[in-house]
Amino acid sequence: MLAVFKNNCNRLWEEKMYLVVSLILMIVAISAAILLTAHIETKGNLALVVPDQQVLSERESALMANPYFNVTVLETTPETSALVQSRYDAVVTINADGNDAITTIKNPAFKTMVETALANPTGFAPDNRPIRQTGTNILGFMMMFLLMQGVLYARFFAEDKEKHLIRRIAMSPLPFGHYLLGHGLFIFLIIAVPSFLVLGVAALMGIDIGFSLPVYAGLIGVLALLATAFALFLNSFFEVADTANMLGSAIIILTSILAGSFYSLSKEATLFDKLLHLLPQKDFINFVNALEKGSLSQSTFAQLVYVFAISAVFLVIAVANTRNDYLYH
Amino acid sequence: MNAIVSVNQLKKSYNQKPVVREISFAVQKGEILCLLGPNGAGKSTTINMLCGILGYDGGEMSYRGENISSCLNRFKRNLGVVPQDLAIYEDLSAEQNVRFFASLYGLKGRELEEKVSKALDFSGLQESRKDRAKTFSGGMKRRLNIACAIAHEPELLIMDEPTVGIDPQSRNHILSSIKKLSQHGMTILYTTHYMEEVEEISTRILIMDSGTIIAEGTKESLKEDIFDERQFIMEIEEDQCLNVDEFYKIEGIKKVEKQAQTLTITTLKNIENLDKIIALVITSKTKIRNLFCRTASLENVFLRLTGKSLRD
Ligand SMILES: Nc1ncnc2c1ncn2[C@@H]1O[C@H](COP(=O)(O)OP(=O)(O)O)[C@@H](O)[C@H]1O
Ligand SMILES: [Mg+2]
Repeated sequence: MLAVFKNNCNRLWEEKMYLVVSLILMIVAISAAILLTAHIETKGNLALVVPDQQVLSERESALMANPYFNVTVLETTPETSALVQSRYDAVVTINADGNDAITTIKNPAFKTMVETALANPTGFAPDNRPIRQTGTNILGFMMMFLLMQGVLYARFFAEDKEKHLIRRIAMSPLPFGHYLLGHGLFIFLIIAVPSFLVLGVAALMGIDIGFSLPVYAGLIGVLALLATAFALFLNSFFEVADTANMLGSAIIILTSILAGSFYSLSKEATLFDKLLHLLPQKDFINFVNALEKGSLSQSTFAQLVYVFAISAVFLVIAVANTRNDYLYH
Repeated sequence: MNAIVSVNQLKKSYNQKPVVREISFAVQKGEILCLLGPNGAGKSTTINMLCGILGYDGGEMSYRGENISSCLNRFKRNLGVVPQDLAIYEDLSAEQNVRFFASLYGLKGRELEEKVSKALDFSGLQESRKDRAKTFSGGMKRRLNIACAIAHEPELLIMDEPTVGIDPQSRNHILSSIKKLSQHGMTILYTTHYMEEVEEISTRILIMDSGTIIAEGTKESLKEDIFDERQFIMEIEEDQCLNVDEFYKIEGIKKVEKQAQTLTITTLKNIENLDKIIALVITSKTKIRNLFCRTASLENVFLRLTGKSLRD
């Protein structure tokens, strides 16, 4: 088993570019996730323009106390450029007659939200749809790349099959289980370790990455397991390395987008949405989301179990298929 | 009995088409057994079944008298296989290739390194051991293919057409290394469709055609058994006195041809008549400068057995 593992490391060393490219992709994905989350997470910055030392009404004081907005009280209307620069998301001007005008360059939905908040500042809470937090976003963005890396690094296994090396190995005393385990372990570690290291470096640099590193270790482990199982599963069907590689990448991109790794596509529980739960990516991200929000329930755990179960199914099929190439006596 | 491996009534069909038809043979310790047959005869199929990478439809195989399935691991440990298709890692160096395959046989540490180096030396690849296999010529790749199979010093080495498509120099290197391995006590099962190789290295031959073993023996015995005639070729000094027709009076003579200074006499093998032939030439006052006896080639043997030529 170690022989196969070491041999794959040697082979990878001859193709270092793969490792470099995947590391870069991973860093880009994580950075994008962090940047996008930061943007989504920002509270609304409001400028409250109260001219002529007017006393704040009760309503306006209540708005200032609302936790969903940062309210800055100004005496004069700020320049439009402050809106363009996103210093403020909206400017609320209180006129002498007590009416207010809202100026924003953001979308109408945002304007409506500020209006609602102004109308009922105490009871206001923003639309309670599940906004993802940093950790969920990072894993959502990483997921597709991790799954694709599985297919990428399974190419050594695919090459063994394509170039009949597996038959030569099968003639040696190496047991089949050890052979496949060697490949599986290689794929698993080469996916899990570098991406975990990238997150570790980010954490050391003081960047908020959502989860603690041990939790990430576990979650990345689950993803790496799924990626390894899927990659071995897919490659066990094809004799030609490139076919599995291309097909696998296509499947992963499509299903990851459908499963909403990046953004949740649909908010309602339509039939289509329910079908999407067949995709392990969706179940995984839902679990992570619940974990980060602290709203774990039995059904979210069931989703995690589903991810393990489908990985197990992939592995079993991969083993059964490959065994045919390996064992006869 | 000294059989390392014996095969009994082994058969295999693809889509009802028999490819190997109940063949039986044994590989004896220390021999170089050549399995000779044209492309498609079923040689590789037989080898692959023996090595455990292809299922079979019937028959038995045993290793040192024990059924192979029940001692598979021990059998595999003592087996080295050079597959017909190159099976090496093109992106890795020669040394990494040999080291990997040798390590599959449980070799480790110093012993591993020593045996890897020995195998590379043996295959004449020591100088290019750090080079990637993909930079190698066809002949070097073939030699590496062999090195990967011998580093663990197997008791039985099976080589499936290890010389197809390579330059004569590499081929000679390979053939002489096989003889060397044999001298060191390795038992070898060698498949080929090249007669010359069989003539050069074999200690025993199995001739295979259309999934059947049609003849077995040493190269001498095969020729002896199959042909009942032989040819004497005499180089003579030109002499008008020699009357070719006179030869037909000698018992067993089948054909006599005279071309310039060469006299070719075909005669039945089992009749001792060389003395009479020579006496006739001498009494004709003709000087014999040279005399040799030509027996059939394996090519003739194959032609006689199957009615077709070994070459396609
Ligand atoms: N996988 C296969 N499916 C169908 N026919 C096959 C297969 N492998 C080999 N054959 C057929 O079996 C015959 C013997 O092949 P092989 O053992 O490779 O011959 P050799 O090694 O003597 O050249 C050939 O006619 C070949 O076409
Ligand atoms: Mg063949």
